[in-house]
Amino acid sequence: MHVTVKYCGGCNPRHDRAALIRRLREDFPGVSLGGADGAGPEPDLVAVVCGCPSRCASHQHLVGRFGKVVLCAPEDYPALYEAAKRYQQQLYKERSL
Amino acid sequence: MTGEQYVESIRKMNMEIYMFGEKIESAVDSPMLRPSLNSVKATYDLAQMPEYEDLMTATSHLTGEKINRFCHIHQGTGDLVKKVKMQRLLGQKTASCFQRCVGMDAFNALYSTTFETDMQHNTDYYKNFVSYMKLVQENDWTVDGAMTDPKGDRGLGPSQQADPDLYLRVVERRPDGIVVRGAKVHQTGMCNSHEVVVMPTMAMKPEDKDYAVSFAVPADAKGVFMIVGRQSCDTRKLENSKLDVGNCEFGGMEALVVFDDVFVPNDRIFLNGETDFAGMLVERFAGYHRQSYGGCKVGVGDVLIGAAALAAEYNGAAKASHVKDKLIEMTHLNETLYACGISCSAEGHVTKSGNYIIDLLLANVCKQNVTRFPYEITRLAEDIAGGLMVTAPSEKDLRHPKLGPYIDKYLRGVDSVPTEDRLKVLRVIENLTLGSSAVGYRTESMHGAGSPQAQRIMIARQGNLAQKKELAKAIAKIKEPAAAAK
Repeated sequence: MHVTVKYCGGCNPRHDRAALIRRLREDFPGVSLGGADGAGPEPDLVAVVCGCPSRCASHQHLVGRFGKVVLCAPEDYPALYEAAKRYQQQLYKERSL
Repeated sequence: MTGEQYVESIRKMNMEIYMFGEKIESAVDSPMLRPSLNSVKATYDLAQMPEYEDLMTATSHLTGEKINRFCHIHQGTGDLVKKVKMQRLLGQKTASCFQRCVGMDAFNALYSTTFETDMQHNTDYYKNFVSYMKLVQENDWTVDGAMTDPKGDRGLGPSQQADPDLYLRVVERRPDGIVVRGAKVHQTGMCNSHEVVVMPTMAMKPEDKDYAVSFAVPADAKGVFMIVGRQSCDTRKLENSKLDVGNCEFGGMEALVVFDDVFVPNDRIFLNGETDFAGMLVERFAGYHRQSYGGCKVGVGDVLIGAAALAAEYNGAAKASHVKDKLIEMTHLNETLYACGISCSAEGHVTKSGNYIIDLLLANVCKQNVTRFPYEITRLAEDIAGGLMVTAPSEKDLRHPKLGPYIDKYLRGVDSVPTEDRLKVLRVIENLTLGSSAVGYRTESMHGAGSPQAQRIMIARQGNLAQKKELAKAIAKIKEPAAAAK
């Protein structure tokens, strides 16, 4: 699973943005993470990590095969977790066929 | 360019810098100047980091390439907003002036002004400037935006001064360019810049033709030299104490920059005698720079508020209601500045050249608040910190085998916090309120981007008082005299 991570600029973050991505890495040890510069494989998921509810990161150009999750607080992490989980289950199904 | 590449690029330059009556051989390695270089370096370092690149970078409309936002020509109100956010971020990371905004603000003012000058005068300044901007973006240059002339007798215009060089001027026009003479004062970050863009200091009259000049030259061009200004407590940087300086990594610098018959080639000239556009250039640069202060000072304010809150904790006073209230007041003032920076950006508009400019009224209101609120924030920080911030012994005393244990014993606040940490945070507050960084946080807040009266003149011009009177008449049911007579 390749996840493109796009951060907002972090001018006044209300939480540790990078901590959410560290959690993702812990929960999905095999995940490959990449930046939003277009380098690397096509993303399965896009995680847009913002520091506050204004969600000002520019991410319109980023598309993940299995969607995009915008996070602006630690409480948003389950949405990313669920999206990654769904992708893993889909992959498992495809491989089983 | 990475931060390290930036440092090496400055090291390779041959700038003529003087301080304490001596020529500085290497500004990069000078303990007095290195903190200011580190602040500019942060603008390169953060642009390389995924956590910050959304604010620190932009896409050039000239080349389509990803560039540092400090080299960007604003393409929408979103860019103006991100500029302010970037400045807040850098203020937080450096707790000082990071010096690169003057260049960015000069670029955007010149982009639209050269376009409109060409429309009126059939000149080639816009073409010159766009070519120059491509070089700036390609090389990721830091550029000093130089506006303020010494001005001599403030009651006299440029061409009326006893000494004609008190405003920078053209002294010779040649087929291949011009020769300029004069000086620019208070030049922030000049010794950390690759280039300098010079602009006139105010609106000009027809007789001031030689003073209506704008151009760019390398910071080490022949004839350019700088005399570094002193800062409060500056020589602490020579004492090799990280604790006593308050901010051992970052800082700012200003210089008197002399242009002693400097040659400027034609393709580096952006205004040359068109006095009717000097005022537009000044007004636009000042507007952008007044917006800037709604970002950078807020970021520094964030650090100061944090330091005050820590000092209260270390003193054991964090739960006192008056301390909590003072921290609320500091936050309120700081976020009010930010609100002004964001609002003048969100209310920006497109210019004839296609770039975006802030709402001038709101930008001037922003800066007017900046001339006041940091002073109140520093007052409250000093109130919370207590007198020890100006009476604490030096780091040498703290390390002294006999004195150290006494300092540790008698200057401890909350028992669980080491005395040294308490002293560290007090030194941060001292640095920002009356040490070397107070240059940037206090007096620069007062006079940088124009002194308070300059904003009040703009507020008077832009305030739309006539419409306000009409509103009042409508509510009061006051009829126009002519209508009432019928």
